[in-house]
Amino acid sequence: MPSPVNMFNRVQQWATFGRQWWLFDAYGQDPFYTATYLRPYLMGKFKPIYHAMSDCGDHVVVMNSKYIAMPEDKWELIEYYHDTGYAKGRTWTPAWKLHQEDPTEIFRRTLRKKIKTNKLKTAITSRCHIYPDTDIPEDVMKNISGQIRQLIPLHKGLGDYTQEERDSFPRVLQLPKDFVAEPNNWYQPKHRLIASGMSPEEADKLIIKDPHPRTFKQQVTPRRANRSILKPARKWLDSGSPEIAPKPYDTYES
Amino acid sequence: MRLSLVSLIRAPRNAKVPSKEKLFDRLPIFRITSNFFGRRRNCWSLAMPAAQKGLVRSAWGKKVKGMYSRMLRITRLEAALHPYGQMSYESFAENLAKVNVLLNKRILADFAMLEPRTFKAIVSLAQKKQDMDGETSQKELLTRPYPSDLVLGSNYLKF
Repeated sequence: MPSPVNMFNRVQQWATFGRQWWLFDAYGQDPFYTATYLRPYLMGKFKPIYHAMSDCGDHVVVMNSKYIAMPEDKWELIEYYHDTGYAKGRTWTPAWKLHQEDPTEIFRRTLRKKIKTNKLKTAITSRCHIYPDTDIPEDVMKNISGQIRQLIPLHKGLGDYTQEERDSFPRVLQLPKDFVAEPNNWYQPKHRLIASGMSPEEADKLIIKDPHPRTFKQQVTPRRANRSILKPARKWLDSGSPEIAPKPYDTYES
Repeated sequence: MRLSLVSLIRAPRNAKVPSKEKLFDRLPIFRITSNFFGRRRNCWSLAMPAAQKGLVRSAWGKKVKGMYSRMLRITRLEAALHPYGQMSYESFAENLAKVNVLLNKRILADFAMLEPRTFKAIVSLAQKKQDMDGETSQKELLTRPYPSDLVLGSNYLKF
């Protein structure tokens, strides 16, 4: 049944057993959701010659891992564990702090957890090449032969809409240019209200306090995060290059 | 020491060899343990339970082999169907049965590995039946013209 290997078929046989290099852009993506999606590429599950113990996986190059978005409040609640082996060497660092020090670590750890514990685990994890920006070395770019689609569509902020789209957007009311809106005092922090001339007693009445203030050390009842609410890492990152750095949101100023 | 063929083959010159009657009973089990590790290969009190366990495990494995090979073939077929619009294995098998194609999984998986062009013909048959019944999802229709396998793409699927 199989055809013999001759000088016409030789390269075709190499291609079936060869390793492909895939590119993935992680801009605004959820790492937990994408790790399950990238896992079959690394294991070799999209090949008809698949076997668990035959090392038939592909390489995956991930870029823009600095601009990852995690669901809801996982930046503060998730803690990553590290032990140096010496006394007092155990540390639990929250995700936002780890992302400041090494922006590739979170993605690397989520991929590593999704892969089965096996003798091939270290070989498979060494085939994920993660870069925080679009600066990828030439040796790696030469090898890439395909791209994986993004799962989560890109979010469009206020700064991403053009002036024409804003003007053509349907409006119910058209306010005059002299209109001055009163500020929502319940939304502002206390020190700003006092600086604007309000007494502290009146400020306490206006402000709505958070009944469940969370810190990363405090125990919270475990619940499943709403994956549709994604929060990117802009709050804890320095402004990157102006071409790629996203524009700031209004709601993250506090 | 008594001379015998077995004593010449298995033991050195000055070794203590058991009687012929004992050897006759124990040889078939030493033949099972001829490739085992350590003293389980040559010492009777360790070789007998080791051989029994080995036979029990091989019998268990013969039952599981069928299940395991079936699972492997299904994963391989799911992998081979991925460039054809991310088609699911369920719909593929369902539509083939409707069209009276009764090929088994072993041959379909071997075609996917070794003869991709016949496999493409079989998959297009199932796709046409699916389109005629109106059961294709919008996701499949969108992903069909863009196969994900690009290294082999130019000569592999475009023909």
